[in-house]
Amino acid sequence: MKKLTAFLTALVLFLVSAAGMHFYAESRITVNNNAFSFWAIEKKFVAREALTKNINADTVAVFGSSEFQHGRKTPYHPGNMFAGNKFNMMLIGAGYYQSLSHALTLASIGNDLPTKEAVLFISPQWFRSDGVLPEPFSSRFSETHYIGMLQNPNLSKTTKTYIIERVKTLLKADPPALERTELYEKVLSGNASFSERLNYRLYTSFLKEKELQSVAIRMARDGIKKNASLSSSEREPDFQALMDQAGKDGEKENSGNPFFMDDSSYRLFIRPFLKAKKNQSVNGSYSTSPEYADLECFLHVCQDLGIRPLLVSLPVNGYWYDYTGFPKKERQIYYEKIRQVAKKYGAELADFADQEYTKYFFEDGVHIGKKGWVMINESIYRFYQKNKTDKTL
Amino acid sequence: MKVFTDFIRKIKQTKHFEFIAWTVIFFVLMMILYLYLIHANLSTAPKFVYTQF
Repeated sequence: MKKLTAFLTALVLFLVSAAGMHFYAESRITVNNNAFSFWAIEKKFVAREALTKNINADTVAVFGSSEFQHGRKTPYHPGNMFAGNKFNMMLIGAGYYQSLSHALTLASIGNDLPTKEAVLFISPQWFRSDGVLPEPFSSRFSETHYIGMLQNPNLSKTTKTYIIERVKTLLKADPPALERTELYEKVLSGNASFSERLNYRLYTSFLKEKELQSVAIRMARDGIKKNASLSSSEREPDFQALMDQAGKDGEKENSGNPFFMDDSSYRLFIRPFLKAKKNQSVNGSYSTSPEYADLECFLHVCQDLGIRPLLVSLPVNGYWYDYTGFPKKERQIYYEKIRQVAKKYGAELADFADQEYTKYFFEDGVHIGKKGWVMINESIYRFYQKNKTDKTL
Repeated sequence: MKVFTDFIRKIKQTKHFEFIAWTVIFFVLMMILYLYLIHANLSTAPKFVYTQF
């Protein structure tokens, strides 16, 4: 009897402690400045609640991949270029995030975007013949976004079905997650038994709490403060001055590599493999890939939710791709296909295909660097400003 | 040190000692389990190594 009373007392204390941790974390994740938006970390991307709580009237959702984790210490990364500015980009993406993951996330958070604007950085490397692979896709899969997508009443049945089918195919690499997605579908379509509904309730509550606590802890670790100086400036960055500076910095950090990359990246990722890479991609092509259908799916989500998309067509580093033998003709076919997709859906296109040979546009073989960031940031800022002006007219 | 040992002796002499001890043990176990579940990587996705393109 004594042990039972002790157990019940401990349970009450535990529930009070867990509730305290929950309310503390919840109060911690809404930030009064744009540091959260520009924070590019995996825990943030998958946490639906944390994302939606930090979206405001000046947020543009920006979806991409590993470029967000590059150049973070330079003044050209958007987090530094727009620090203190009202305008903010909710960066979502890391390596192996591709069109389908982004379509899923947008389908989940799209209704919470007051600006109704989304930007997608399109990397040519996504369009390999296999498209996104099951293993990387499963490792980036967010169950809370999947539930958010299923619960979105504005998403058309066709778009929803496409996402569900693709997710099912790719999640074969992660059977337990696949099983759970099937449970979510069953419960949310109203065909589940009592025990399945209970299982769903318990598991999703746990999942949301886990995401909440993980984000709060990581925010504290990375110095993302709830109350820092307000991001209220509306001053436009001096893009021309930044461009000039980017050229000078690029020259400084390149002591003569022929691909106009940063020396540090060249020494680490390129120089050791130079011989092996020579003419390695003579049969390379990005013209046929399931990724094109996934990209169209992203644009379908935009149409369903009334979101204006801006597609940022990233180029490849021309100097490096020529060295690897990747055919120029194939690159042009790819760029043209992206133009056609944008045209078909009436999406705005920031086309950087003609920047393949711009020195210091890239940090390495594929990731944008100093000049790349300045040009792309400017195009996103203009997109945001134009839509803001259109709304006030 | 003496203060500490006196304190432990005093607690041991209280009639609720056993109850307090069990409550603390159960509470600590529950918190350990909870914190583990919240912070462990429970992903069942296959591991892959990120490589640059």
